[in-house]
Amino acid sequence: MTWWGDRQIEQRAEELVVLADVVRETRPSVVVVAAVGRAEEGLGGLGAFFASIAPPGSAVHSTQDARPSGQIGSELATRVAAVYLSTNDPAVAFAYAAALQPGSILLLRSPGAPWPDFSRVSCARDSVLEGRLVETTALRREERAVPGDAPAPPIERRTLPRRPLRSVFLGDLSYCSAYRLGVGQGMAQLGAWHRDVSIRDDAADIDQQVREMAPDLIWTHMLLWPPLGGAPVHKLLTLAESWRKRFGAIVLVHDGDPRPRTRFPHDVSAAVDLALLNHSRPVPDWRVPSCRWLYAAFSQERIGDPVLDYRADLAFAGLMREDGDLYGPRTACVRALVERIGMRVWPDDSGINNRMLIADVAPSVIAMLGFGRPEAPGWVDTRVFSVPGAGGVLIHDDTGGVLEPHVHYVPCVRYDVDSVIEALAIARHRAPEIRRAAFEHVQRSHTWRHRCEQVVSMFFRTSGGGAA
Amino acid sequence: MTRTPMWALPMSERPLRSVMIGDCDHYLSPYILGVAAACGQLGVWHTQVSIRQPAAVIRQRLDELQPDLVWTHMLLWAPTGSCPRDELLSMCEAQRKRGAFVLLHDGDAKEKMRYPSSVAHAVSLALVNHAYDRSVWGVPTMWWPYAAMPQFALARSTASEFTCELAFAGQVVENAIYSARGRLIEALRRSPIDFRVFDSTRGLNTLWRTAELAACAGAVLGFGRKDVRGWVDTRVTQYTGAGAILVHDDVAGLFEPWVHFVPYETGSADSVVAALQRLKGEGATFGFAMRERAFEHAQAHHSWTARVHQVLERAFGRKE
Repeated sequence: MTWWGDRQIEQRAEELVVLADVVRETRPSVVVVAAVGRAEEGLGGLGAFFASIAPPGSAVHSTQDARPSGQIGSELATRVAAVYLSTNDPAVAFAYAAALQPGSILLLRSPGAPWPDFSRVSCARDSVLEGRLVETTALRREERAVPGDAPAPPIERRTLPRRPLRSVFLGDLSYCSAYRLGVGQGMAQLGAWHRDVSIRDDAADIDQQVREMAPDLIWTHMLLWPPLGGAPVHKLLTLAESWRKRFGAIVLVHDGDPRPRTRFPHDVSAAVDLALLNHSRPVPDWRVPSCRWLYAAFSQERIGDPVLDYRADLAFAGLMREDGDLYGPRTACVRALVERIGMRVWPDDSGINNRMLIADVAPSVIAMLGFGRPEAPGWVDTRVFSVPGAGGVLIHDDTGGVLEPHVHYVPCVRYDVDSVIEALAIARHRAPEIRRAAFEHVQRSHTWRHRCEQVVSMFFRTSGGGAA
Repeated sequence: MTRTPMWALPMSERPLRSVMIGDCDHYLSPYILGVAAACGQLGVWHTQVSIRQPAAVIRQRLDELQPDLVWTHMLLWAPTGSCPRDELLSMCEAQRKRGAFVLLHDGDAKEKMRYPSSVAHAVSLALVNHAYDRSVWGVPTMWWPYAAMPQFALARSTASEFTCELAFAGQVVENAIYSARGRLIEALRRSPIDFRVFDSTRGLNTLWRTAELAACAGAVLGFGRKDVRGWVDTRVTQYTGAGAILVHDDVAGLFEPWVHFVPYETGSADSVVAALQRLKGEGATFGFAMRERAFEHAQAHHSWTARVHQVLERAFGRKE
């Protein structure tokens, strides 16, 4: 039993993201959405959300029963793997908890009472129920760690068409993803005709926009973990499968995640041709070929001039969050550097993400800082490309072999403040030569155009004269 | 592959940053798609923001990007439910004050203005596909007809659903604007020509299939609207730029008859039939040479890359 009753969750979106991870990892066969007492506003939306994250073919139940009974009661004991329970009554929560099978999820929410009321409910965490969860979840993960017995089929190369390649980016357009903007630039430079389609549109709109283009390549973003409110994952996979069959589209999924396990551990071979991975962790569940596909830099011919507004000795641009392992140690190190040497950090108080301003920022500071993730094998930080690719000096602990230490960047020890300060002193003296060497290296081999070429050459033979 | 020289901000050398605010998620606009393709080729860092997003989202995107160029689509007549026009203009004004070059696009074939007020505070230049008076906006205008998608080589002709003697792709509707076109299409359907119509109101838009259609169809038909001063049919550049043999009655002087395209007399199906017969009589080599000349001319002078280049020169000076 995964028990969320002790967690004060203020924003529904965050709550659902957390829940989504749990559901993906435990692979429920059926999800019950329950509202108890006062009808929960947006219950239908929650049902749709559960539908989007549940494995294909599984059912979703929505109920406002006060206590599990009748058909729901029997399903809880046999098929139901997760319950969203909205109640102010601890006894109701206990009833659901007791009725669920081991390994299930119970998400509690109190619509009409203050959160402290849940302290009474969360006492149950210490009961035998939680022990059952640990046992069953561990077993499931071990099962999944065994690679699939059916190897992914090899990629069959086809002749490059004698016309511009047509290419679609299907993803979340509501933010400036480097992947989205980079693929747009890279494909345009290859002479392809490219367009974006929002994954937040409804399925029929997405289908029409893709079909009228009949693309050769479909780059997907968040296909397997789509944002809330858009088409659910099983619908997106059905569409992708139909595009592959209908006009031979090549469907690509991108996984830049530094997570230890995939968020979608299911077979997607009917819908996907290739997984582009920014890590070396196999994803046997997907049963599709994969390739190592790192982030990249935008094209740039020359290093820009420094901009007064961005002047600094050392700068860091990225998320600052005091959470567990993902961002906590990095954030602590950055804060210590702010304290010690007045390091500049973006986003600043304005909250503006300056990713697209890197061509101004990189030449304006002595150096920029980044860190790798040793716990995520093969994962390479995006700063390894974006900073030197814009003429910046990077201080980093792990560039994944992409850059040469003391030639293209200045190495440091992970999260070690003194080591970073020493690296900054080196950068200060050698900045001009490192900037130039790193910029040329990245622009020569690691732009988004190179990444797009890598994919195109995997699927298309150029002999015979393609137009792209 | 041709390598197009990249554009950078004068005095700084960093790549230009550019954003399109428009109905980019749903509307299959050649302008939106063409500008994006051209910016990619010219080394401009470009992105798009839907005009249907809340004002706060658009504003945030602009803050993040701090663009040198702001292209707008439907700025003065945004789709229902979009960010209000005054807010959009206010954002554009703020960008101009920052130093951005703000562009308004007016591809309308309408003499009467949909927004007859000054936009001089918010807009740097209006790109117009007509010769009507827009002086009330209080901004300079540039004649900026539609253009061809960038293409490096002629597509190969293969048997496909587009294979025919003459093709027309577009809306076939009965209204005041298109009634003359509809009559000619009907007449051609009754002619001995193997004529195929790809009606976008009855199926999918073929804009993205332009390269194949141009290569597979023996010729592609287009219509001007001589009553609309300075307006150029999008097919004039779209199909020549993809290597089609264009059959057209008004190319606004952008191309030369019997060099780059096949002319016909407005409204006359007989004239179209006669023009195609003459083309056939000239032989396949002549036809292929016409395709190549049209393709090269269009890609050099009337591609979206050429159009965007034209704007960059206006905004930032001539590229050395």
